[in-house]
Amino acid sequence: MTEPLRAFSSYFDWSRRRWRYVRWTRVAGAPLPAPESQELARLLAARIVEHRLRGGSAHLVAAWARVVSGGSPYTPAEKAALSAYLAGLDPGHDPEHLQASVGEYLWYACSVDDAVEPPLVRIEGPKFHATAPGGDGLVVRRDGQLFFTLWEIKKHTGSHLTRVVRDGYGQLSSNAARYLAEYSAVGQTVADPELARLYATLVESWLDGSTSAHAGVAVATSVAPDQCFSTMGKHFEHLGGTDPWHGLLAAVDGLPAFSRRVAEVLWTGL
Amino acid sequence: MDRALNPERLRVALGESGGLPTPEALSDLLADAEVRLFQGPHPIDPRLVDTAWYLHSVGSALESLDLYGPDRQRAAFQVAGHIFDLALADPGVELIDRLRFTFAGQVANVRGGLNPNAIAAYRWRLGTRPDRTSFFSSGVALEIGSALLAYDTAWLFPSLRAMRTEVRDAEQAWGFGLSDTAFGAAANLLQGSWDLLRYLVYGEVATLEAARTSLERAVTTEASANDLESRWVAFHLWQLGTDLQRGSLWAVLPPDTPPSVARAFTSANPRILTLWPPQVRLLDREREPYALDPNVRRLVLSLPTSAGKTLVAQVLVAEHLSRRPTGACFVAPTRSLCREIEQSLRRRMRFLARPSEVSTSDSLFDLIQDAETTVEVMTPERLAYLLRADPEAVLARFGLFIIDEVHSVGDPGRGWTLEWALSSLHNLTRTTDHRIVVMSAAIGNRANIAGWLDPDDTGFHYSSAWRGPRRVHSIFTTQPDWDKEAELPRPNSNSPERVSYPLHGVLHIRPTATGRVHQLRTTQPVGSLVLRRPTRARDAMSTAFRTTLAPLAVVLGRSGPVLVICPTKSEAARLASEIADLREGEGGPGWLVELASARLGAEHPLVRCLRRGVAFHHASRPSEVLAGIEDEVVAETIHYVVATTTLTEGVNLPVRSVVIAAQGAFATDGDFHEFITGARLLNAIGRAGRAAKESEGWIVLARNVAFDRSDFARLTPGEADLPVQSVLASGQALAELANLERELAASADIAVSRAGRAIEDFLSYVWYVCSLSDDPAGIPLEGLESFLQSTLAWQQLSRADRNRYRRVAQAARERYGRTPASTRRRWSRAGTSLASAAVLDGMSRAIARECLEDPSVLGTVDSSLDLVFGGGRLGLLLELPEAGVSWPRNQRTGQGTRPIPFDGVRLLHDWVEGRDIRDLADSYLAGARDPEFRLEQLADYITSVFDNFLPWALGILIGWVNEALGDQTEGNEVTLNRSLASYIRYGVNSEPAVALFRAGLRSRVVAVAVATDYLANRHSPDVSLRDWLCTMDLADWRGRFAPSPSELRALLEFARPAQTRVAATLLSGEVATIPIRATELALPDQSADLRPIPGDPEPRRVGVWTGDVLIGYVQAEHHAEVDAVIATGIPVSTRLQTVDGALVAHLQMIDLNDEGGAQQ
Repeated sequence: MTEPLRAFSSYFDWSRRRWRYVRWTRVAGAPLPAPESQELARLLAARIVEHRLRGGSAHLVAAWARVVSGGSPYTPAEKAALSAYLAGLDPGHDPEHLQASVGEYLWYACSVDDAVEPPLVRIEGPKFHATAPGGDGLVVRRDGQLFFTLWEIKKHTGSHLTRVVRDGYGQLSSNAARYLAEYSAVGQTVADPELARLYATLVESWLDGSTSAHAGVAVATSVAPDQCFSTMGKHFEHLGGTDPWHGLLAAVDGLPAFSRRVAEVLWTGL
Repeated sequence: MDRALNPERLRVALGESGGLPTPEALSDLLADAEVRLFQGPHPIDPRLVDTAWYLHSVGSALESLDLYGPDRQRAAFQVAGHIFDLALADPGVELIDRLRFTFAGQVANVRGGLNPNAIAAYRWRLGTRPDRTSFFSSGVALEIGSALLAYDTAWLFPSLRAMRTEVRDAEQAWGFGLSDTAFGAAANLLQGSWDLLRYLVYGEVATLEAARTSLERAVTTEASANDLESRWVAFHLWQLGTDLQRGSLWAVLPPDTPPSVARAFTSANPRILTLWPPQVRLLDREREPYALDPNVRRLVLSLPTSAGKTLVAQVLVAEHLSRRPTGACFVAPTRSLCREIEQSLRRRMRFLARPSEVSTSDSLFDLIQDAETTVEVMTPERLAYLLRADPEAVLARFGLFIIDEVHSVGDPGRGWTLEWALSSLHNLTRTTDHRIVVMSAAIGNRANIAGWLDPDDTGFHYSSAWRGPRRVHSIFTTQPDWDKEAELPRPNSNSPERVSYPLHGVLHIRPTATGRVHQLRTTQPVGSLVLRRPTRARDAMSTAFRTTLAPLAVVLGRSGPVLVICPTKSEAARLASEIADLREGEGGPGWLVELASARLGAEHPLVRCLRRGVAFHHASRPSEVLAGIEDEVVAETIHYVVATTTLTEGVNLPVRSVVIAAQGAFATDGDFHEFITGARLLNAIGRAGRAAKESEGWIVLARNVAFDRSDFARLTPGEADLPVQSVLASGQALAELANLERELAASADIAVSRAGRAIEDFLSYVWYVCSLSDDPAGIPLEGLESFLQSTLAWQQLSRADRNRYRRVAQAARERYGRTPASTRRRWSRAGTSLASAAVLDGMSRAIARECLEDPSVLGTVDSSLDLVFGGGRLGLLLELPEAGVSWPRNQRTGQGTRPIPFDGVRLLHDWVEGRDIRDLADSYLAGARDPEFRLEQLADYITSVFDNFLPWALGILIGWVNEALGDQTEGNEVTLNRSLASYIRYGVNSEPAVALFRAGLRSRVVAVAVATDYLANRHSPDVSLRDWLCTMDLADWRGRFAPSPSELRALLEFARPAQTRVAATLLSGEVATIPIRATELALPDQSADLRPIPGDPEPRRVGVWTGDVLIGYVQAEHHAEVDAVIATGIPVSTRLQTVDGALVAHLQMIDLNDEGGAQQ
């Protein structure tokens, strides 16, 4: 399936903000009429399907697109396989988990589509076989030198946004060493020696506050305020590079309902 | 004390990185975490966890990136492993994080060279893991990885097979392979783990290569890049492949070793899939010398407790049996250790292709064991007897001699027996290819020992301080709270004025040898200190120091079993009761409580203790009760054992914590004598920290004095504290030598000298050496010199003292030459002093004469006992210096303490008739008022006289009596029953009961019950006891004989026909056929499974099942073998067939190559 990537991005208003030393990206989606909201859900679902169905299962992307566009139903084999590959994203799934997963894919899509940030070198996206909803992600970009941003990704549906963001700081701070140790072990096997060394020293760079280490907190929400992430620097003071703190607020009107719509699209015909 | 807390090691691990605690700060953080553990499970400082992940990433960096260097990476892993171990002690950690910590810690420990800690880290999961985990479930990668590094084959084989089936089914249903999809990392991890497991268990090199390929693919397949967890686990297993291969028995053993040798370790429980670093070094054929080198004929091993030297010995035995036609002789200092070694060897040897039977003989005098016996485990006394009786037969039968705990040559009581046996053996095999291996955890003078047994330095002498579990040392003292003085009421005006102060316990913990000492003070008093006014002298109303240890023991017990070593039996019993008092309502094992009630009486203090999970253990208890206690400590239903050092010297019973309640006791001279020192102390504290069960052991030395930091040195005896000194080089022996010299100067007869035990033993040795020569005058002088030089004593004596011994030896040799041939030969074989041999010789002639006068005295056991021991002979025997009788007294100490007179011969009759020990104590020792003390006294008497001395003396007598009878009756069958010695040792009066004891049963009550039942109910005398037992199953045995679980296992081993080869046959890939007892639901040609019957008490019967339908039972005779196979977890197919009208099961290992796997 080939989906025009910008088409997804064009549904949002992208703006760069800065609060003291924290820069953050506001990706705000306006309230949409039902057909457009449905289309946005379909676009995100398509990104998820592409993300999950790669390599030897890539032929199922076309099968999914066929069914979603009203074509012939799945064969039993397609149906069985897709049910497994799209597990955890079905409409019957625990809504909290579902919203968190959709939030992760929003972060993923925004990170990939971001045209302003330095060029993307590698992204460790939402987990397959996830052991817990929500979580972490790693983005490596090149701005002259390679640098990485370790992200904590949260969803905001009920409680105060500031509390969610604060939780994100706390979780990232508490778990960074573990997240990075896992990325570090597997990432150092890449062929590019510069990238391999970056991966091999992720934890060291983070704890040392090296210029290559950045912290990011992303929140998927329904409404995007104008101010956010104002205290981030305090939580990661040890990071010593230029602009080491990064926020991302991705707002989709009615995130809970939107998440459900994404799931319904994904599981159409299953 | 530990390497991981050493700031220098931490500095190496941490490198120059900022943002981390300094080495000193990290050492303090670790020490704090260690200290907090004493107070109970506790979360650890988050900085520690961050540091652990950092160090883990340092350790994990690929060598090709050239970032850190191998020493730093190894140090980083060791410290990381330590921190993850500490993190796991917090029960509040969520399951998924516990699994992450577990796997990360396992990786760190394996790559840090601390393999047993990787197994220990997983132990919490054994009780909580689901029977099956779906391939598609979250967390599956961590489950696989952690189980694999713990070698949990019982879970891995069925679970990985089931997951592989899931993958295959999915691939078939979906029409494409998973390995290049989002499931690819997990599928490749599964395949790689399966192949790695197969390599480790079966040794197929191709599967190791396949494993590496799959694991690498799991990490690098782009389609599953987002399955980070599977990739992370796969990465580490991939990187560990080399470490695992290096430690695998399949790689370590020479390539031409029969595969069944490695299988004996990779299949039998406990499974050994990889060796520990010192074991690898010992067996590494790439390095010279190495233990399996056929040119290495002398091996001196010095490894600490829990470093795996016993396993090395087992490998040597298995390898020897697989290559050479001779057997192996394994020597251990006590009969209980012999039994333990025999059982663990038997579990392995049943998988050997060469039919191998392992046995131990309680009898000194059975010259030849069953013909099938290839490995015999024996005490030094038995080896000495065999060497005296027929040295050529010993050398023909055994090609390998392994001597465990060789430091016991320095034991004043029994050391010489081992020294002369070993010296003789060494001298007799100087030019042959016999191999002698000596092992110990406590040899200070290793060079001396090596010089003794390997004077040409052509052997292999290896020592290592490596051990898996860390050890934390601490000292316990008490501290009065002087601010809380309380005046005690005076009952009358004559009473002294007393004041009381609460006593608090203080634990001084030193987590690092160089670091500061941390103190934990009890919040509540553990007793009180009472002083008299105005002298402020300590009053007897003060709490006994021993009593203050009870709360400490209870706290330590929350983290695992505790062993408290007391200097005396009475202290042990009291402290156990005090610990039990603090543990209200906590239950001990019901069956053991019942057993102890039956044997000791329901009111016995041990019964009350056992009900609360506390035991005291010393030699004065019925052996089946002691065996039960040992089993239940291992099973952790008994958390507290209070014992004397006889436990740590006699049984290998590791625990989490060891408390040394005192290093000595006040003797009758009023002085305090320390005797829990040196090797004895090392042996006791060596039990702290169970390898592969926990990564840390705690040692507490209780000191009833003010704290002194230098007391920590008491817990680390140095080499100078562990000298192994020949008995003949001791001051006592030299004093006795002087006595003899004086006697000789006065023209005394050297053959009847009573100059002292050590010198008499030396004379006996010379006598024996003389007997080795065919020369009528005894061995030539140079030959005698050669034997003298082969002793350890010769290494340690001064030139002058050697000459003194030499002169005495020459005098003995001359006396030998003047002694009639038949007499001197007989005395040389006795193993007693010459003077005692003369007494026994006279006694045997008298007995033989009486037999000839009236052969009917040999008719019954009773009349034979009267013949041998009547007429005052028992008293005469017990007066021999070798007897070492413990005479029963009326009370422990104090005025009026005296021996209790009783009829020893009558007691012997009652003992052999099987009368209950409690009845015997009440009948014969009523003069001791305290029933507990009465029982203890009788048990001590039975141990010293019936268990040890009399069977030995009687064995000599019987041999000589029968020789005399044979000479005088010219071959007519008039003989004294050779089994009398065994009847006395075991307290039974029938051959079947003796046979059961020899097979490992320890309960006299059960042995008598089985034997009596058998003799009364067998259909014909032609039906053997084994065949009769096999007409029943475990449930029948339970109903008829009320055996304990350990006795049932012994009965099952007894029921197993010699040379049964079910396990070995199956593992070699062939079909093993066993009869089954079918139910009416069984049909021929059915496929079936073998698994235990749910709900059965342990050991459970093994059922034959189709699905959930029980269609038969494995019969008792094959239970032990089939159970061993089931325990391996290795998949086995079972097919039923009718053969000659009876249903049999054909068992065969499933060919794992036929099962396929994920599509690649």
